[in-house]
Amino acid sequence: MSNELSGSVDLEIHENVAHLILNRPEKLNAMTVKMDEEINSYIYELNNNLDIRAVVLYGKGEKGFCAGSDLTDLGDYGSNWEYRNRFDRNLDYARAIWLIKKPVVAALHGWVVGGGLEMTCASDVRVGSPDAKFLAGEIRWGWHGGSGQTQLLTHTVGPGNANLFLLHGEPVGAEAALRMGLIQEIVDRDKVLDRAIEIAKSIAEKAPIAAQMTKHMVRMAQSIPLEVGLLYENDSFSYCMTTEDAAEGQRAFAEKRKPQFKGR
Amino acid sequence: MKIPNLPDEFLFSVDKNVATITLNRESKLNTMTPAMGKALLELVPYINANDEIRVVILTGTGERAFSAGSDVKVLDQYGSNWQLRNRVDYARGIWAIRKPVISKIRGYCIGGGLEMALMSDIRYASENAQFGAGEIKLGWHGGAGNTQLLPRVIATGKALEMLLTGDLISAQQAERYGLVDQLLAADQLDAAVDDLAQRIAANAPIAAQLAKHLVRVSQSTAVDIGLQYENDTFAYCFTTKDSQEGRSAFAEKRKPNFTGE
Repeated sequence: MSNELSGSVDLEIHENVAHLILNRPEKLNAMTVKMDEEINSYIYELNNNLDIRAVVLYGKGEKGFCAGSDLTDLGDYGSNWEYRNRFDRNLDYARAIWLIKKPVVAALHGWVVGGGLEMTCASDVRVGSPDAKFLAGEIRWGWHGGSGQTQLLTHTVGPGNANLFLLHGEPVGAEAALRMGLIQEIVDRDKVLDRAIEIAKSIAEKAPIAAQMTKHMVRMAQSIPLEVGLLYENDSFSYCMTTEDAAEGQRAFAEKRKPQFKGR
Repeated sequence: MKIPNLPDEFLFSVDKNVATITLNRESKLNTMTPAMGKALLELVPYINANDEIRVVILTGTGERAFSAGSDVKVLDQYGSNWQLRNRVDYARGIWAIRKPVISKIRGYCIGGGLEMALMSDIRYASENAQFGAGEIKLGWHGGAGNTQLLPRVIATGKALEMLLTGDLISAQQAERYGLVDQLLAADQLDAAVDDLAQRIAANAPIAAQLAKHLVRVSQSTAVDIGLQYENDTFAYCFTTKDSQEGRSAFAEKRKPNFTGE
């Protein structure tokens, strides 16, 4: 049973930035059902706690970010049909990342595999260390990923690169990942988490409503016809301009000072 | 999975594979509060995970209302405008139920109540039912599906007539529009809904849930994509035990006994 397996997902809140930590370093942070339940249990807090304005996602230990699902624990998801229905049972960890409304910055090092890669693609900004290796290895075992691997990866790196990942099933290094746009920056191994936190803190200083709307609209750009997206953007922009923070931004600009945003 | 704690405004029961959610705030026309919405959202994963539940009935206590939507008097409980925008949305809760949902409607079905009914799969109503998207009279439009789902259920002009006037329509009109799938005398509604629920619950649950899913896909995606998706889930159905049972029962000229496997 899953509860006999080690590991946890931890939530820490540091000022306006939440840290979501995969904490099973002895198993390359491979996700158990229990860890899946934990990460899902944090989503309400992440979305509704107004103090949280950005999220950093990372894995503990030297070996890597995450090896994906612990294949020895898949049985705890239940029958094939029950496993298929993990989204609507709040039991899919990559979906959990996707459901976070605040911007998510992923700090990636070492192995980023399977469901780990899906969590990566469900994040908004990704920084990696030079030793980061990305792998969608599901095809080797007889299936393809089910939590965004064929969909989110394709949106992230384009169809040709996605097919290379998904059909070849071989690791892709940090340089290639940077070229494809899977990661936005390569940062030294000992600085990658600091850099991710730095980006998250910078996001947390922005007006929260505008930042979350921006994340939302970038997602819309990947999901809806462009003409609808342009109209939607304009309505969302108009909404932003009704907020107290937009008024504060305009005042601060006129007064040549830094704005103080309150999320209203 | 444990059944979550539910407030008194919410009744929930499971009987013979059918779950019933009853909005139980009769003195306030079964209007919804933020706390009720949160409770509903916590109930949904339980309903989805519980294999005993094959069909869900959504209804309200009493004759006066299915639900008159959000309790406008407590809208401030959602917090700031931004928090209202990010609310836990009760109508979306109905939408998130994977099992077939039947709305059993008496009396007022208004605003967010109409949205919950629209998020359901099949709507049966008694002759005293009345339907309306009254938000426009207060200065806004519905935010949980009225503008998006109503024109998918009824004709565009009729939808806009309801959305722009905010006026009520009768149960008879609603049936003509196709908003109500079956109109019944008040004393026959319970039996008709129970019978419908049992007929759905007797079918293979995986196939039934996939059929619901694919009808939604048909409303969201290009038809050629939908046809390919349908064929893949059709193939998936044939990997289930229930499909074997269906074939055996057909060959043996008996009623199949589906287990949801």
